[in-house]
Amino acid sequence: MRTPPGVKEADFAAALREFASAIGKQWVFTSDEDVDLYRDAYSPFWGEPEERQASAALAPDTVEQVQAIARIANRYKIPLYTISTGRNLGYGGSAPNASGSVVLDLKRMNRVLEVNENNAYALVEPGVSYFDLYRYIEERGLKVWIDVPDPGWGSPVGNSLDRGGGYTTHQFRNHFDAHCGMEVVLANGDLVRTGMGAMPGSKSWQQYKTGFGPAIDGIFSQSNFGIVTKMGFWLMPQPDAYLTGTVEVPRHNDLVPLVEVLNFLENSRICQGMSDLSSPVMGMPAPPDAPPSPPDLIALINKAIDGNARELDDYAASKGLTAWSVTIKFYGPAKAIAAQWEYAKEKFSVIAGAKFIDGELIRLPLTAGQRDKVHKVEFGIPSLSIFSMGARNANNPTPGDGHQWFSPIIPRNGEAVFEANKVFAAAGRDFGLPVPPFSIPFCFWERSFLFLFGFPVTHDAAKNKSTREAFRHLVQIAAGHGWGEYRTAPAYQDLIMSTYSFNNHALLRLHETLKDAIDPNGILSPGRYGIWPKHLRGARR
Amino acid sequence: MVSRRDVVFGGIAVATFPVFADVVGARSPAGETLGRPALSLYKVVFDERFPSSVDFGREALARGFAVHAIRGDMTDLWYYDLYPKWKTGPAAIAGLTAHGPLFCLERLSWDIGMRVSFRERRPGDLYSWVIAPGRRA
Repeated sequence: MRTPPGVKEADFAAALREFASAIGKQWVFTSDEDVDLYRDAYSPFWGEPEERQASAALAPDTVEQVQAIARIANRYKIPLYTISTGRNLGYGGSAPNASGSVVLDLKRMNRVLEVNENNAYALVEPGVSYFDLYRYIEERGLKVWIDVPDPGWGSPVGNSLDRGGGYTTHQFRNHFDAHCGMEVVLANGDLVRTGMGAMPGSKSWQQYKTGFGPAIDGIFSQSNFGIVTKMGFWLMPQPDAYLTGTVEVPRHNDLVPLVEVLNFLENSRICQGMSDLSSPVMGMPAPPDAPPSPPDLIALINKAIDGNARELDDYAASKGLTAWSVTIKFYGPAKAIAAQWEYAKEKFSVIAGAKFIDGELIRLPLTAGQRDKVHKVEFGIPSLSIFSMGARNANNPTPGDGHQWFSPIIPRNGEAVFEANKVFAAAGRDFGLPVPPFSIPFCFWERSFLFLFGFPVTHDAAKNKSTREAFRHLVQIAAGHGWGEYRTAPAYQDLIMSTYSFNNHALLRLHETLKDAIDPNGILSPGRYGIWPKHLRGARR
Repeated sequence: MVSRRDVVFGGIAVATFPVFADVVGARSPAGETLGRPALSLYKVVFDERFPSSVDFGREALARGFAVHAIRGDMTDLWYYDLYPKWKTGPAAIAGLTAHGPLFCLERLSWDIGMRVSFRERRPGDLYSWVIAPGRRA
């Protein structure tokens, strides 16, 4: 039997007996066959001694059982690693930061406690998946939408605590920002409700976010200060219609005004959906099965990255292609969103040569036929179709066994996109990384761009080692330019936390002060997002 | 393209897949008796995009199994069919698919104590597989 670090085998056995007494022995998993299910399928250390693996797993069913587990863990100083559904692949899965931790698997706590159609909110337990919540709403014919990540088999609680995102409108895409109220079990087993939930008999727990006094919900995201056992979310009232409009501009440097207008329209809530930026002339972003860009085009792209875009513009003109395209998306009454698109056209018309393509107006709800054709996540429909992409094909003969996301936040302006590409293209060449000739940022988040580079994880230790080294270099290079990652897998959390180092790591020191106060024995997810308890901290500095 | 209707009415398959020997408990590809009890399959999954998977679906049908066609994406199969079925208890399934659908179905089946009991890589980067109740199911 594996044991947690620093815990005597006899103590661990005693703790397991007490856990079994608290939650039922059938919900205490200790066999390799069961515990191996919690390995991170996308671990960049797969099969190596450094791969982080659990020692056991517990699957409680109630808040009271979670409280009992916390108290037992405190008594025996057993590290717990909390997961909701554990399907956060690409950013860590269900494997702990600290090998030997006991996974606290909240999948059985899967009750949808409330969905309020009138005021569009929900209250759920951590084991509720997006599919569960979608089914609950669909079966009752409620006119509210959820906002889902892609793939959608994770949970609203887990994804929002990890600060994941979705694909509908601004105020719902940022899943943590869309939450309203939490219930949290602390390390000592105490139970806290945040916001209005702190008032016994509150009638507005999911209707007003901050309650009274400090708003502390944020400390329970990307952290290890408590075990969230309930969480409220604001939902999107089902809109009447959906409309897209595409803007094309001819020249490479038109990206600068294109983004300026886009920012105005998004920040003014004229267009609410997640905008899609692309470059027709560069063929970016390229689909997974696209052939490599021809060398002559790559040469022109490289010149453009170096500041000389004239030849790329000439090439685009000769091919009848435009430099940039952005598709903006509208949700709301058909008349209103048609007017918003017309207004957007006026604004983009300041760019010489801008062309507009009207998208189809889709009246909602979707018909069955429409549902099969649309990008489901833009309509709040969870899907796993993303796993059918990336299969072996002529252009991708050696697909990886998984991926790890490198995901820096970049300022929302065209100049920053050019600069980031110059930096990342050079880094990709230097380290042999599969960085595309030109990377197009995503518009998941308000006010900023997100770059997403998926680096392959394989079952070849040598390749993984090389990718890890390159990944670490990229993190440092990005930090050197003031670009920080918004999220990462446990393998890189210490590294990335170390780049948020203003004033001699004042933020991390504050995290550690909180950790020592709230969880003095360091039993809750030690190491998550770089926050280690005191007894495990020294060696990591 | 072969549709589900073609599979249903296309006649008896000619290929034999080792996975069925594992499922029906008859004989292994080498011919020896496996000595395992027959496994009741709730559904056999094939992918219409791959001819060998379509053959697999045909053979499953000829053997009397209920079949389900996908085209890479297994979401609807799981959401509308397997998820409600598995809510009532474990139910074994088999398939010949690409890695992606197997990866998803395997992980989803863990939640009710099921495991991949047979997995074999086949030509064309496909996998034949059986997901069956595990020790804890």
